[in-house]
Amino acid sequence: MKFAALFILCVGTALLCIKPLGIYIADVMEGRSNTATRLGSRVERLLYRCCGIDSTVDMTWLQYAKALLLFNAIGALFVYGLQRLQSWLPLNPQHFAALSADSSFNTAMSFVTNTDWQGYAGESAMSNLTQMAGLTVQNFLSAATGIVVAIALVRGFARHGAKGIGNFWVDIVRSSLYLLLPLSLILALVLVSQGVIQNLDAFKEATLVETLHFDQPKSDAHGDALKDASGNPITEPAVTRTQTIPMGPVASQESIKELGTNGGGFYNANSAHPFENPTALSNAIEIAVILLIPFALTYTFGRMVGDTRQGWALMIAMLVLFGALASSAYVGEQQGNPLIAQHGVDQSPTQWQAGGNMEGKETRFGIAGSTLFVAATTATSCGAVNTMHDSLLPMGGFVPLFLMQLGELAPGGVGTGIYTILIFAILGVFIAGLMIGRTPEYLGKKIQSREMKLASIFILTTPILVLLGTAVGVMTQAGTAGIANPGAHGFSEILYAFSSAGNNNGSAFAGLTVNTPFYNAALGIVMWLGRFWPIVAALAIAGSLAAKKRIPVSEGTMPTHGPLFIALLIGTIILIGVLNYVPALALGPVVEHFQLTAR
Amino acid sequence: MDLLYLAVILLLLLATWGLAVAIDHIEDEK
Repeated sequence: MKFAALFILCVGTALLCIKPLGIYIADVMEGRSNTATRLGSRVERLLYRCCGIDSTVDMTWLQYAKALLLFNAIGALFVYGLQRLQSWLPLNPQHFAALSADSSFNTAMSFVTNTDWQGYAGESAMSNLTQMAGLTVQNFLSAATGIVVAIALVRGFARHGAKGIGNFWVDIVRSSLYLLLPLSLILALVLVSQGVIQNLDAFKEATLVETLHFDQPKSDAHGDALKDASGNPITEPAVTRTQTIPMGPVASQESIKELGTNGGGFYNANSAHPFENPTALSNAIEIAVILLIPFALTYTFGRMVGDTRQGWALMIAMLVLFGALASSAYVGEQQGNPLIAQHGVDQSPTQWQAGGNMEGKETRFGIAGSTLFVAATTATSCGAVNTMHDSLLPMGGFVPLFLMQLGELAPGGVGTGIYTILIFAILGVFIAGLMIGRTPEYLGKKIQSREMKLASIFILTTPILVLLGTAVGVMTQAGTAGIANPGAHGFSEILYAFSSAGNNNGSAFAGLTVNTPFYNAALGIVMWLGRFWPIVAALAIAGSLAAKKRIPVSEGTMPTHGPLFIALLIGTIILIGVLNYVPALALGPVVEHFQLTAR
Repeated sequence: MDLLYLAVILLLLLATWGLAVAIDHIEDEK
C-alpha cells in the first residue's frame, strides 16, 4: 500500500508535468519566443559572440557529431586536469592531495558521459573546486548533451529533404540555459528547505556524546590495507570521542544530480546520506525529479513531429516497463530474506517496522522508498542510490541490473531515454514490416537497410562492451581481486559494474573494490564507448531520416500510436534485452536466488 | 602515467571520430 501510494505520488507528479514541460522544452529547443528566452536572450547572444559561434548554421549530422565529440573530449581533459592539480588550486579547505592518474581518468570519463560512477569517496578526496567546476559543471553539460542528441534525432523525423539536423552549439546552450539551470536552481532551494546543506566551509569536528570503541583496519606505508594469511583485513582497536562532519556545496550538486539523471553524489553514501536526502519528502521529490525530464521529452517528441499521440505511445510503453519492474523490486524486497526467516525473525510489515529485507536500507525510507528509488535510478541513467544495492536480495538485485541492461529507456536518462526508445521503435516497425511483408516505415519515413545497420550499431555496442568487460573481469586476477563475496554474488558484482558503466548509469553494487588501476581504466573506456558510439549512430540515423521525404499515410501504414504498436515496442525491448543478457543473468542473480531458497 | 591516460582519452576520441567518419564514408559510397 505504501509502495502504491509513493508510486502514484512520485510518478504521478512527473506525469502531471509531461505536457507543460514537454511544450516548454520543444519551444526552447525550436527557438520559439517565451518568457525564459526573452529574459535569457542577451546571455545567449553574448555566449555565441564570446565563443565565435554562428548560430544560424544548420549542421549536417557529421558536423554535429564532431562538435559534440570535441566538446566532450575537452570536458574530459578539463576534469582530468582539475583532479590532478587540485592540491595547488583554491577552494580546497581540507588540503586534499591530487587524485591518482587512473582514478582521475575514470572520474573524467564518468562525469563527461553522464555515468557519474564514483570510484572515490567525494568527501575525503575531492576539493570544493573539483566538485563545483569539474563534476557539477559536467552534470549540466553531460545532461545537455543527452538532450541535444534526442532533439537532433527528433528533428530527423520532423524534417523532410533536409541536410541539417540543427546546430550543436545552439542546442547545448539553450538546453543548459533555459532548462537545466533554472530548474536546478529551484530544486536546490527546495532541497535546502528539507535540510540539504550548501556552504563552502571546512569540515566540522563534533564531540560525541559517548566514547566510541571500534576496530580500525591496519595499512602499510603505502596506505594499502594489510591482510592476514586467509585474506581477511587485519584490524586494531581504536577509540574516538570526535566525529568529522563534511561540509560543502551539496544542494547545488544534488539538484542537477537528480534532474540531469547524473547520479554522482557529493558524499560517498550518495542519497543515503542525510545531507543529500534528509527526509521522506526529499526522497519522494528526488524520485519524481529523476523521472521528470525523461518523461517530458516524450511530449516534446510528439509536439515536434506534429502528432502528440506518438509521444504518448512511447510514454505508455516506458510506464508499463517501469511500473512492472519497480513493483517486482518492491515485492522481492518486502518478502524478506528466507535465511533470516528460518531463525524465526518477524519480517512482516507492521505499524512499528517496515518489514522485509531492511539490510542496507535507510529506516527513514523503508522498503517502499528504497525500492522505488532503486527502480527510478536504474530505469533512468541516474545511478544515484539511497540503498546499498549489494544488500538487495537476488531478485531485488535482478531488477536494477535488468533495467540497466534493457538500455535505460523506461523512461531512460535525460535525452538518452527518448532517443534509445526511438531506435527500438525503428527496430520494432522493421520487425513488423518483415512479418507482414511491407516496407517498414515510422512517422512517414521509410526504414531501410542503412537505418537498420546504424540501429544495430546502436543496440549492439553496449551489450558487447558489458559482456566482454565482464568476461575479462572474471577471467583476470585484477578483476576478481576486488570481489567481496565469491560465487554467484561476486559474478553479479562484476556484471553490475560493467552494466552500469556500459549503460552510463553509475550506480554501484558496491561490494566490489573498484578504485584500482584495472577497474578505473576498464570501466572508463567502457563508459566512453558505451556513451558516444551509440550517440554517433543515433546522429547518423537523424541525418539519414532528415534527408528522406515523408510518405503519405495509406491503408497499409501501421499506426504507431495505438495499443498494438505499444505491445510490439515493449515486446521488442524485452526480446532484445533477454537475448543479450539472459545467460549472464542466469549465472548471477538467478543462480543466487535458487541457492538462497534451496537452503 | 598522466601521458598514458591523456593518450587513452585521445585514442577514445579518435576511435569515435573514426566511427563517425566511416559511417559517413559508407553513406557517400552508396
